[in-house]
Amino acid sequence: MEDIDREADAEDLGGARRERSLHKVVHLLEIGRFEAAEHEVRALLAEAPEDPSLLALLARIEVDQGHSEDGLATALEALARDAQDVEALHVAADASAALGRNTEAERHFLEALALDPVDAGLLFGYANLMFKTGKLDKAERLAQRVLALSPESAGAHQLASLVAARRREGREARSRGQQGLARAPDESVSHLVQGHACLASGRPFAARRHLRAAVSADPANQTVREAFEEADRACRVVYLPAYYLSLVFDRVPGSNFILWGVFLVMMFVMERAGVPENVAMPIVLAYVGLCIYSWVAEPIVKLWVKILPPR
Amino acid sequence: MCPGSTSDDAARRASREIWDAPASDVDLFAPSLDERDDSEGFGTAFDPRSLWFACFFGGPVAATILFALNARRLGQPKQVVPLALGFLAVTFATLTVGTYVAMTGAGADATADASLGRNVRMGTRIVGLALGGVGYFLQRRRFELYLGEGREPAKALLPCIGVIVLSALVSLVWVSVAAVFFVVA
Repeated sequence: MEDIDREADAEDLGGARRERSLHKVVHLLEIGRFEAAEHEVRALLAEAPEDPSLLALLARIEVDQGHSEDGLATALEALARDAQDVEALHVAADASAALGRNTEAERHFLEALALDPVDAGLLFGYANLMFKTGKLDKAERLAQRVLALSPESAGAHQLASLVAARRREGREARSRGQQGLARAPDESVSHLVQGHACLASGRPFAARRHLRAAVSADPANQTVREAFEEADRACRVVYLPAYYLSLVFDRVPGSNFILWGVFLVMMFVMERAGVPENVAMPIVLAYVGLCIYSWVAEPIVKLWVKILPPR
Repeated sequence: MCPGSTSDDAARRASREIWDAPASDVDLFAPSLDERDDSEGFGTAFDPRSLWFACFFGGPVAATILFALNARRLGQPKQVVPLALGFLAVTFATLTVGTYVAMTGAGADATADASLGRNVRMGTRIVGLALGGVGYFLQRRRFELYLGEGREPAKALLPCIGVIVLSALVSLVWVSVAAVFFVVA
């Protein structure tokens, strides 16, 4: 009897210690100390190497540190022990997507959603995968599902904004971006998405304002910095007409080549129609000037930015 | 959580909504991707729009070389051979027919000859443009995936100029061979 009591006490202590360790891991992850969190999880795994939830947690830490191959291997190990571990499926999906194995990622997402269809995180991850692979309708519908479950999800609004921007629905993109920004005003990604929406819809100065705020929030992020530089270039006088031209040509099949194509057709038609030279020449010269400007505007503004860097 | 709490109710409603979804929403949880949507195997690819532009100057030979090369860089090695063979067939048919038309249409009138030559060259360029359009539509989706991975397109200007020059040489050789054949025949 005393032995049974002693065993039960030991189990209780072990369980309490594990709980404390897991809380410590969560805290370490919140403050970004991934290596320390990994060390804690490995210590727990040393005591319980077959625990799929610990393996899934370790896999998540590895993926968040950018070690996607290792994270995928660990997640698959967790799934070998428990094929219905939703967190392991989620991590396997994220790791596969990071490695470019999108079909495999989709398979893991769908398996996880079959087990837990109301997990907003899973739906959001799947929506991101659909956006990345160009399935915009599905991405939008999934984002709506996330919002139905979690209306305050800034990420879902941001994703909906990106979808609208890619479809060239400027107003919708800005509206969604604004909703994302209202829910997460201090996050760099909110300003980045809204800046992107403004830039895609003909508002380069508003875009530059938002992207400047994004850089202030996250100065080390290279993606944000590049987006700010792109918006700044669009605001420069020498490039502004080319920026608006590009917005028009992006909506036309063949893009910039339409400009040159129209030029060739115009030459052909004027020659056949016998247009007088004193009329044709100024038109041709002006059009050639426009074509050349569309070609050289970007190198010129890049040089201009080197002389007068953005503030 | 107490039974009947707000978040439990919301989750149950959402779950019912998802599983009692109308038929149009069932596809939301059906697989949408195939191996063409995997981002593996990417090299440094060209923008298919830039290649399309080069096809006007380089003709169908340039279209064949550029889009076959780009298929490999977009991680589609299985597409390289069928695409190259298909484009080559159109290319050599175009050059052969163009040579035949130019030779049979040639006569004593130099102006008519010059006009015929111009039309044959323009026809070759139009075929090049058409092949470029086919290549663009075949590679557009894959290139969007490439951009979605955050990759930058490769600089196309110098490679395109090189291919245009090479295309001119290849076309010259083929046209000469075809002309000799037609003369002998």
